[in-house]
This record gives sequence, C-alpha cells and structure tokens, in this order.
Amino acid sequence: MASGLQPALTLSAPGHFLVQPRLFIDTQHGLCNRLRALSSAVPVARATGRRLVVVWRPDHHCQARLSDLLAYTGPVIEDDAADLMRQRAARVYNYMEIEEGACYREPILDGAQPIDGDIYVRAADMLAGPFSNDPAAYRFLARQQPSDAVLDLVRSVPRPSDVAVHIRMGTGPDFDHLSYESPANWPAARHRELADWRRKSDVSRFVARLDALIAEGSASTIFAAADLQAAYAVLEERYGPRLRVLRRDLFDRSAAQLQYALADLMLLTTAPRFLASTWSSFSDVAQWLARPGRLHERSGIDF
Amino acid sequence: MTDFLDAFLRDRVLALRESHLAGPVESDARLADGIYFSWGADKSQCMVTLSGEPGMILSFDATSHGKPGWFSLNFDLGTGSLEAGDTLVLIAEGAMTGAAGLPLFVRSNVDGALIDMPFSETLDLHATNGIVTLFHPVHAHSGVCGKPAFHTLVASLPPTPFHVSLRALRVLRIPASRGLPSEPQTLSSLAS
Repeated sequence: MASGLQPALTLSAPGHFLVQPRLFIDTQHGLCNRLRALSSAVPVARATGRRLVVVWRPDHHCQARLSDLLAYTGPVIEDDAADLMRQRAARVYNYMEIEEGACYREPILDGAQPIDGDIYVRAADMLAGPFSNDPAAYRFLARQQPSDAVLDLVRSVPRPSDVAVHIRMGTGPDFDHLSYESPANWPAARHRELADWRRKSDVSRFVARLDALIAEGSASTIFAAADLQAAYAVLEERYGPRLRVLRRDLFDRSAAQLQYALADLMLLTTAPRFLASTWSSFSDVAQWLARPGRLHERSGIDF
Repeated sequence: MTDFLDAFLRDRVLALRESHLAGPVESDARLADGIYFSWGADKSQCMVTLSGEPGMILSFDATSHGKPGWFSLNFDLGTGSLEAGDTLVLIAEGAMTGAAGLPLFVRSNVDGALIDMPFSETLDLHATNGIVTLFHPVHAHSGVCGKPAFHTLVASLPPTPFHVSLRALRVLRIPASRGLPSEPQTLSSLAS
C-alpha cells in the first residue's frame, strides 16, 4: 500500500454517527390539499439534504390512509407519534391559519438563521420559500403510482373524452353542518372567499359552457367529476349518453370515496380540454397531472 | 390470443412466405397485401434484391447510394384503436449481417394526420438465426390513443449494404386491461 494513503486509515476525530435530518410534512385537510403539501415538500427536503417523512393522519377531512390511495414507499406516520416529532423538531412551521401561532405560507428555511436539525411543517398548501420548486413538485406527483383499487376504478370509464369537467360547489351555508366544510376550519375571511368561489363554480356555469362547446362540435364526450350528487343529476339529465362519470353512491370523505376521488383525478387528465373549478385544490392538481399545455378554462374567470 | 394487429398481419405474412419471391423490387411494390419496401428517389438510389430463401418470409440484400429521404420496409397493421397503457409486442425470428439494429416505428393515420410512434428499442437481429422480442408501451401522449386509426409498422433500413433473412414475424397488442404494462401506471400516465 502506498504510504500516502496511510493517514486516511486513522480517525482524526472521535467517532460519531452522521444522522440525516428530516423534514416532516404534516399533510392537512382534503385529498388534494394533502397531495399538494406532500409534493411541494419533496424538493425542499431534497434541496436541504433532509429525509422526507410524511405525516398522513386520517381524519374527518380525509379518512383514507395514504396506502389506500398510492403505492408510496417512503416513511409515513399515521398516528400521534407525529406529535412527538413536532415537539422535538428544531423548527416548526404551521400554515394552518385557524390554529394559534400559525403563519400561512411562511418561507421554509429562508436562511435568516441556519437550522441543522429536523423541521416540521404542517400544511394544506404548497410550501413557500427559497427551496420550493413547483415544477419539481408536479413531476414528483405525476410519477406516483395509484393503488390497485384506484386503477380498477379508472379502468371502468371509457377514455379519452373531448372535455373534462370538475365541479366543486359544496361549500357555504348549506354545507356548514359537514365537519369538513364547517367555517371552523378557516378564518372567517378565508371561508367567505372559499364560499364566493364555490358559488362561481355552480353547475349552471358549467352547463352554459358545455352547451356552447357542444354547439360548436367540440364536446361529443364529456367526463365529469363533482362533489355533489345534485351536480351529477343535472349533467346526466342534460347530456345523457355523451356524459361519462365514475358512478358511486358515496359523497363523503370515507376511504372508499377518496379512492373514487383519486380515480376521478386521473380521469380528468384524459381530455384535451378541462373546465375547472377555481380555488379548488382538486382542479389545480388535475391540471398539474395533465399533459403540459392542456386547454384549461376556470369557472368565474374564463366562463 | 387475437387482436386486430395480429389478425391483420398474420395471413399476409403467411402468403408472403409461400410466394418465394426473388429478384429486384421497386419502391412501393406490394410483395404481399400491405407489405412493401419504400424509399425516396430524389438524388439517391436504393436497391433491394429478394433472394427467395426457402422457409423465409423475406430474405433480401439491400443498399443505397446518396441520401434517400427514407428507406424502409413496411408492414400494414390494419385499422383499430390503441389505448394508453397498451403494450405493442413484436416477435421476429431471423438473421442480419452488415447492419446493426433497425429502428422501428408505427405510423398511424389518425383522421388524416400521420403520427409516428418510435419504438424504444431497435430490432437487433444477429448474424445467426435468433428470436427477438420487443415490448413497446403506448403512452397517452403518443397522439394515437383512443381513436380508430390505420397503422403501419415501419423498419428504417440503413444505407450500407446489408442482408436480412426474416423467418417469422408477429406483431400484436396486449391491452392495458389484460397485460402486464412494461411501465407502471402513474397518476399522469393517462394524460391526453
């Protein structure tokens, strides 16, 4: 052995373990809020040398486990072990405005003070800050593999369609009794904003736009996903055989319904034109997953 | 197992094997229904001579001079609809000398528009007879999904002198719902 290599064989400092710090992403609220937060945490973890740990606790917003939905192979915490991780984290960020001490969209690791240890982020939205990278987040989510149960649902619907429609109208006074639509989930101003946009996503707006597309010969087949049975009823009566839907009798936040929702999300990518509900994370994610540049029209803005 | 690609091509391949064709061929001249060589004649010259080896679908020597716009061996595959997640399977038995792998693509006539879907692998026949199997996943963004289209398998031929003996050829489709996709389904793999 060459003598020049010998010094490398002795330790010049006491032995120690190198522990990779972690980024805990505590995903909150409904399916696409959670997917958005999870995906946006991936590039932040990667850029800051942290291992991502997903906190996905089923609750009244989302009763599905992550494994009900995706074949995700990274570490996941589903119980109150996450609370311990939060207590011992070097820094906690909380985007949940309704909670004390929260700071919505606070920049993560903005560099003012270096943080070497674990960080814990509780969010229902995209992470902000110098390490956020939305295109990388979109790519990560697009690569995720759905569970077999979701794929079985997807296969039951013909595709592609000429137009895909997502109607999200179930927020406001008529829905306040539902725990996941309750005003208690948001500051008053935020809830008003949400309710305003839901009104602009009424099924009647979509019907008017679809009628125009049919008149110009651009909507021979329509795939629709909606959050209310009433919206499906309107569309089925009006559009009959040209309408394609993933039929269900569930309109809640159960694990089974969320598998339908994820299948809907995939099917919403199977048309070259998308009529979306503005201010809906579900519509936002459906457009992320679509072919780049897919035609995209937003309720209350474009129609 | 029968699908529209396999059903369309199989009888035509059998007919070609039994015809024992030999001699020079012209561009676009049908060797059997839907099976033909094709090349662009501008400022170039392509020569293909069939040798009529017994038991072969096709055996031929070929070369070209100049830079033909294209030089290919084409197999019509008929009309049908491909779906995202389908897997195209090509099984070829034969030998080839004087050239490396042949690039393949499927040209589809979708409502009058020609769309090419290149195979991810080339057809690598060796100097001694052997069987090659290729799997090509049909992606949603390939532009050919969901609409009935007329498809043609195109093997791009090299300009250097080469010889091919093709003993067997099958082209078939494993539907996404029944086969084992060669790539996993992702949240965006149906995007169109």
